[in-house]
Amino acid sequence: MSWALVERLRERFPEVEPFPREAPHEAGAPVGRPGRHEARGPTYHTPGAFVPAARLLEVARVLRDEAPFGLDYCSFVTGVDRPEQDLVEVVYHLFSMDERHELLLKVRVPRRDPRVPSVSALWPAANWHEREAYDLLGVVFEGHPDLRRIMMTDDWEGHPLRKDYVYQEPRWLVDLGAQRQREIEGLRLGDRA
Amino acid sequence: MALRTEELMLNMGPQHPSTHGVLRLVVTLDGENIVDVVPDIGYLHSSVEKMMEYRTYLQNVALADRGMDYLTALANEEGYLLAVERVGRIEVPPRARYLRTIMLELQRLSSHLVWLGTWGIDLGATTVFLYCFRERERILDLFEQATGGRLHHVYFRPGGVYEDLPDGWTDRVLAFCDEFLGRVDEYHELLTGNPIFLARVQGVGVLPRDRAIAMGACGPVARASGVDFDVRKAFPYEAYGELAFDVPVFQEGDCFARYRVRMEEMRQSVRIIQQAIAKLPDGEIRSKVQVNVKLPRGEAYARTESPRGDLGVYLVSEGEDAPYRVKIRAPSFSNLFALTEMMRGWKVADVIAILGSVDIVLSDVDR
Amino acid sequence: MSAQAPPPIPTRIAPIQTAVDILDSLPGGSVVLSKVEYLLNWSRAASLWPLTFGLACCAIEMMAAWAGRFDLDRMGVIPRATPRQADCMIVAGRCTIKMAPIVRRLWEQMPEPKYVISMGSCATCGGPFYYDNYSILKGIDQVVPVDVYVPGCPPRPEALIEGLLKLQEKIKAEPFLRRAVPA
Ligand code: SF4
Repeated sequence: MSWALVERLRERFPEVEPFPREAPHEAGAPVGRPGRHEARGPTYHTPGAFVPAARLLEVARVLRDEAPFGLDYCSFVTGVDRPEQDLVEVVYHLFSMDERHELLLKVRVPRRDPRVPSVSALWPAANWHEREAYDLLGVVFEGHPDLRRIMMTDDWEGHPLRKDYVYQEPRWLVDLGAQRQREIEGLRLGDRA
Repeated sequence: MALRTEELMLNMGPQHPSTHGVLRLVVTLDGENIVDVVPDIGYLHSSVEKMMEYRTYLQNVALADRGMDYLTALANEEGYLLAVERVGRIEVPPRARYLRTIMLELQRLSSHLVWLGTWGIDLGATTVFLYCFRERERILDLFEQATGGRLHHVYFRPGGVYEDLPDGWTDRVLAFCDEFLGRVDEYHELLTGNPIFLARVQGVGVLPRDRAIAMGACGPVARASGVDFDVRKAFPYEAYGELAFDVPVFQEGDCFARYRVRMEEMRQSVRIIQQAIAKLPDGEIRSKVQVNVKLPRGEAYARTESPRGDLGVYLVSEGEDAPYRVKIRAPSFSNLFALTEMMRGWKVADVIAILGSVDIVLSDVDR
Repeated sequence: MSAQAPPPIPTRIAPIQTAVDILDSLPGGSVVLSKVEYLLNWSRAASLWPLTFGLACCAIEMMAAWAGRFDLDRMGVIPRATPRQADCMIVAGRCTIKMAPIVRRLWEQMPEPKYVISMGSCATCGGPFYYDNYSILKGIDQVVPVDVYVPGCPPRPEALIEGLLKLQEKIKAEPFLRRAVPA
């Protein structure tokens, strides 16, 4: 049902590239055998399409406002970091409350400087999701009203969901831990009991 | 002569008895009136999505219990496993599907009971809390007999459930269900018979339908605003397609409507459990899936109806034995964003009533 | 009361300290002191008012411990929502790095003598969130001193009650008037 929607979108915007659909899987094939699936490309179980970043706002507006799409609900915005392809994929999930169909949009942006236009003017719900993607993956949403970190503290360094992120305890925590250690040593434990 | 007033910033939380966890609300007040509310979240961000990338599909079940919404551990497992099973094309035998349905609905009861109890405390009705937890303990006993855990169960597995039911369990559940329907009426009378309660919730915190959709509200919050959408009906999973139940929808969009949606959902859950037990088929409870299962490359977005709303899991697999990326679309996160919309223009005393009626769980918001 | 008692560390309330010192030096004075301490400790242990620091899943079990079946009130343990009225702090659940300064601040706001119960594996050591994690504090004892650790994920309400009983034992055994006060 929704794959038809992807086709309609492609008719409207030729530069939109639908997710490749593979032939239906052989029924009853064993799952989880290592090595069997590696050559094959990924299977997309949820219908969707790749959209160039430059056209995103235009596509999004059509998807929201025009029949037959009418996708009035933005479920989430997130990103997938792919260092081997030097890409960050920004993923949008859209849904229509009336028609009950859904669509994934993927925007591929360079990993070095990931920038996409913000859709939070179209779907206010995307506001926090974009902030989260900015916080955890470093994707900059241009035109976002309030692009701040949402999960981590404001002075956090790095974007934790990047694949090459290395965790470092913040300075104040290391200092506090050391202070606690000194306190324990000065306490003469056992005196209190 | 115009009175010169100044706006006041009020900081609620993160350690506050009625923020239901570690939520910080920055409330801007003009006198008694709320001008703006800015929730500040992230105080319970537990990096679940990152951790899931380093654990096998089976280990992640235990993580889904804890890292996501802790009141609805089984609903999290379901959301995560639905995505795994979709990507891996794993079949779930019929008995397991029914077992899962029963457990999910019991979980919905226990979660709604916590909501009702804590909301009662927020509104000053401590008795409700004691009543609700009395019934909740009985549900937890049932859980404990079947899954071994009170809060965190790790009961579902890729391709089924961990163990079959103990002897006589279904009878105990049915007995509980019969009693519970009466209890729901009891709570309802206790609360709605109280004019103070009604005055504090009726017509307060209205969220109109179009704003609910735009702000991404889901679950009971959206249904109280007239959005007729329940994942169990729209995209049936497990055994929901084979069972009869109603989706309560109210048009008012106020706190009282949210309350009524959840009360009605509890009655419907009992109905689902009773039907599922009557129809419970025999047979396998788990299809053959390796412990260290490797999924083929692919990605899927699976959505379920957790007690808090539309819980989705977007799973990307790269052919390894661990997911490449998991995105948890948390219902509380979206509902909390809609909170600003509900609160604007109300009095400061309504903050707590409205916040409680949204039923957020901070672990779900922050993950 | 060992043979080589450590040099006295001044408590904060000087007049009481002086009185205690005088009493202690009198013949039989320490016996009297012990009795007074026994009374004080008994009353302190029997009305332990914790500041409930519910952070995550463990907080639900903590709530259950106050509800009908387990009923912590019967032990004189009454939850407080403010640090100023609390004797001890129950940190229930995982604590993030973002939350850690707040835990510390609330602990600092509690009046002496104060105790901390760390409920659950997460509060104790990071628990299930120890590895591959970038936001959870690996144990709240990095920021506040902990008296009783309650293991479990989540600990059952019985386990929390046991933890509180252990804390009562600890309180009862303290030389309250002559205790060393951490700087
Ligand atoms: S110890 Fe377990 S139950 Fe407690 S907060 Fe941590 S994960 Fe949750």
